[in-house]
Amino acid sequence: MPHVFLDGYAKPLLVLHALAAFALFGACTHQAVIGVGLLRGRLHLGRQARIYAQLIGALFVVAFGVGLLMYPHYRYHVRGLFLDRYEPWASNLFDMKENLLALALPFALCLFAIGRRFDPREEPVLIPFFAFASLALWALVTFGVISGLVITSVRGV
Amino acid sequence: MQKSLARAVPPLCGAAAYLAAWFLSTALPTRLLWHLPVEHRFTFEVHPLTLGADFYGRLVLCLGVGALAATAAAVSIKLRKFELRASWLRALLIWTFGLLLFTSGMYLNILASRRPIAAPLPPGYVAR
Repeated sequence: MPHVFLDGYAKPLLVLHALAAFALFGACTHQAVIGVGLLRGRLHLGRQARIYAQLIGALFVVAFGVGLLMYPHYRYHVRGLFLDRYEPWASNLFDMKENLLALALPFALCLFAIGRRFDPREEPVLIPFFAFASLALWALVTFGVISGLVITSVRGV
Repeated sequence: MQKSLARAVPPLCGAAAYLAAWFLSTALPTRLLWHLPVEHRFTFEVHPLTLGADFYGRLVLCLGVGALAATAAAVSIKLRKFELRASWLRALLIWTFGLLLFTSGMYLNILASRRPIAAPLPPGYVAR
């Protein structure tokens, strides 16, 4: 069997990836609720918005980074040898998840860059950005977490 | 308000450029850095003939384009070449979310009907 980068660490990396993704999902859900609250005029939520913006930025980078590390193993052992042959729908679902979460990356980075010093009372002009970025990120991360669970139930490592 | 806009516009320009680069590099045949996991090497081409992953190459390309756009916007604002308006932020938001929807839709459309080609099985391989 050919050896692929980080083959021996695939399982712990998958667990770490899943833990970071679940934490990210929780933080994004809180942030989406805060975003809707800000749109509805609840300007006292500024502190929570700043905390979750930083948390989401850090968790997204961790989850994404660990995913990048385990990708070569997935590409050959999981997708190349198994999913593409026996479960092509799961292979396609993974690529949807992978690309949609890559599209979410700039939103997480923007939320971190802008949100960590965001004060809704002083900067009402930024509230629509904040709300839309939070909701888009929540939708993409939710899709990623659910599809990740489905794919792992077919074949994880 | 100028200060808030000056803080928000560069990252949003970067996000829009990143999404546009992701869309264009998928829609047009683009030479990318491909990782060949079995051969333990990278190659720079449109599509290799062996098992490979273009994800790293596309990510590096789009992060680079996004960083360039964000830096250019930040430098232009710092040099006071133009005065920022709230309507620009709205327009940038609409463009960014439009690009997100368009690129996501393109991927969902392509991948919903894709027939992947499996890698050749190594000798003695038994599917679990």
